[in-house]
Amino acid sequence: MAEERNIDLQSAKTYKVNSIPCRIRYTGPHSSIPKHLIKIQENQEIITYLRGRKLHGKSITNIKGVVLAKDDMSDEIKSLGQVNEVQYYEREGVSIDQVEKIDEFVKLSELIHG
Amino acid sequence: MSAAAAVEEPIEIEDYEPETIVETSQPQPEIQQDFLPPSVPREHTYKSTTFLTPIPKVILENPKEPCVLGVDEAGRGPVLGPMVYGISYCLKNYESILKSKYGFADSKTLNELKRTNLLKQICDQEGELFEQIGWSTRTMTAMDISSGMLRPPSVGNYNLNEQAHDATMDLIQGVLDQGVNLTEIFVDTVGPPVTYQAKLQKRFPNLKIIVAKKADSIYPIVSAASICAKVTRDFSLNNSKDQLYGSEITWGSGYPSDPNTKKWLNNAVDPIFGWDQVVRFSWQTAKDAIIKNDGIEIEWEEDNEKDDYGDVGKLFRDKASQGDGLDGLPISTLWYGRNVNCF
Amino acid sequence: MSLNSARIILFPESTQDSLKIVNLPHPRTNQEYHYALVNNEELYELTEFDNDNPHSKTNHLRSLTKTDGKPVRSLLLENVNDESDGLVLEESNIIISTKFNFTYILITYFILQLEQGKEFRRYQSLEDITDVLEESIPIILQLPGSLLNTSLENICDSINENDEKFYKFSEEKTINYLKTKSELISQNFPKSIESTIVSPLLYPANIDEKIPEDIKKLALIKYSIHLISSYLHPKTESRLNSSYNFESVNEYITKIQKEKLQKKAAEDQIQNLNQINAQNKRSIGVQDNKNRKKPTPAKKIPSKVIKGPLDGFFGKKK
Repeated sequence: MAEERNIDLQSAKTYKVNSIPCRIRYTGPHSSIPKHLIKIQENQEIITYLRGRKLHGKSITNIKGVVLAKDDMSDEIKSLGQVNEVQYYEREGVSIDQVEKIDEFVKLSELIHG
Repeated sequence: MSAAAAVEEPIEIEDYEPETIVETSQPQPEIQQDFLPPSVPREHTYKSTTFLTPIPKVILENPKEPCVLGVDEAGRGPVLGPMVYGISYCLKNYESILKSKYGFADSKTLNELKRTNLLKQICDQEGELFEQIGWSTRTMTAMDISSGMLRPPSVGNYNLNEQAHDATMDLIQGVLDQGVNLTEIFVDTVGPPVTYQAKLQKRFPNLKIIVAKKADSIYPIVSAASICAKVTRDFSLNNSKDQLYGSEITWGSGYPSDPNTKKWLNNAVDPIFGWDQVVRFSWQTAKDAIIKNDGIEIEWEEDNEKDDYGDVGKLFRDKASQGDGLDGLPISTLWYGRNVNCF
Repeated sequence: MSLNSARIILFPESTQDSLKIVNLPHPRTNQEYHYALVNNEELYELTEFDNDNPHSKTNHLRSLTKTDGKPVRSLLLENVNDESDGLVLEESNIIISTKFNFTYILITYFILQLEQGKEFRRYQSLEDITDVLEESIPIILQLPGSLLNTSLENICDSINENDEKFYKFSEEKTINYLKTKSELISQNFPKSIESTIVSPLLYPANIDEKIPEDIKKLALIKYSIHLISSYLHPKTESRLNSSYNFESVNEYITKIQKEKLQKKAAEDQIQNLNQINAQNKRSIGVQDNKNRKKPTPAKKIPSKVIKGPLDGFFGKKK
């Protein structure tokens, strides 16, 4: 690993992360995600569709995240932007357990390391 | 190819005949700008909707007289837009007038224009038909159709026939709940009539139910239902098109074999998302179009059907993967996740 | 910039002015992993979440891709201020950061020293300790002194001399420190683990009976030790375990398991007899006696004598 240098967190970019229950065989930019990922609020959840599949999701907002990536050339770790929200989606009919699990882990961590 | 891919339109699981009527190059239905059927949602929506008229005047005035109800659908085969189920009812002794006076069930004279006209008359508050005919439609959006057919195996898929049957039964129930004295139901079907008739009969034991192919040309009240469904669908589809893409765009009838539809489908394919919500992604046509137009491969859980062979994931797990020391514990933080070494 | 290496790391809502990824040896396994040093003062553990839970009985049923066994999940990133700036990331495991207590690394270090026969007799200054530690944990020089200070306070006896503090590792203090933590965890035990793993183990064979309170309490402490042992070297773990007596829990669990086995065997036998009776009733119209099945003996209860008087009475299964 490269020498541990401070990562510059200053970024004009803030992202919302959508975690979707399918494997997309592509990593790269896309210029019209919000237009296609139409979301509908339904009680405490968000509904969206991807290629005809109905998905439902929960939002995590009490976080301050960062997108880190390694620079090909310098091997340095850089910030691509901040994250202010994660929306975690599952297929319709599948319960969204992961959000609670993260919560549980955070609470357990506080007890172990506090 | 997953199980979900095989289940598409009429050509599928139960003993239904393949749909031979694949309408080629249908002319774009003539849409009259001044008339928008009340059954069409004003704003394009992803949500399926139901429309139900109040009980027509003549029936209200003769509550004890028997009524007949017809059921038909529109838009089962297309890859674009909603599938609409329509029902229509009138006094039993009025049904013959529908044919003799207005030309319902007369397949020789009914065309797009005539159909639109007839629905217009049914909706015209000054007209006779408005007082005699009650009707209802269920517009099932492309999104609902697709998502029902593409449910994960753990949930179980909701195939097109089940969706159609449920829509039909709900529509009939809606009219019964209004207190209309229905005695006979006539239903158009594409598949074998016997099983479907038994299913409906079981659900509505007090009604006489006839399920027949080409019922819309036999029973005038089914023809009326057919018109309600077809015109609703045509206007719905056009409405969506105008709102999403503008009125200059043309995409044909929405049938997979329609060259205009094929052209539109292959034209604006987003590599990740495909298209907007008007496309039935569960249709083989749509799936093929995504592949053909360099769509990115997207894997869903059902694309790797799980048999209980044990932990295959172990074969692929990283060397750097945590395990030594923690998975030996009866319980550890591995319950939640693992440490990383990714950079 | 290689997006292929892009990862999302979530921190609790607080200011981060600076962030550094450092490598530290895991306190249990000694394997090096990434940790985050935030604002040059706080250390965070980095845990990636996917659906892979080796402690779960249904882990092998989780969804994986066909060709490469990856989780069936990906990320779509939307720039909140610019709709045209979106990212698709195939790699989907999100990393959660949680505060990490450096004390655990120190505990491992000192306990291993103890295991090697070292005795802690002298009090040492922070500086001296840092020098010695640097040999085993070189990264310590990059960490703020306050981190080491706080950790030493937790597990060492200390004395003040000339305004300087001196520390001496205390096993007793360490074990007490860990015991307090274990008991705290047991009183706030994670629900998903309790309902999936602990409670099923403790439920009596008779569903009307309750789990005895004292057994439950002790069992939760036992499992809390397992959890905290995620951060303890096995030698530390065994010292911590020794400070409790879990005999009653172990005996209880053994007793319960035995009762459950007996109950199942009895139920199987009844089901067997019922099935055969039903089959015999169905074939009553047929004159053919060959169709009549003989009842099969149910699975033997392990603690009983192998050959019993009834063995000859019931015929063998065909």
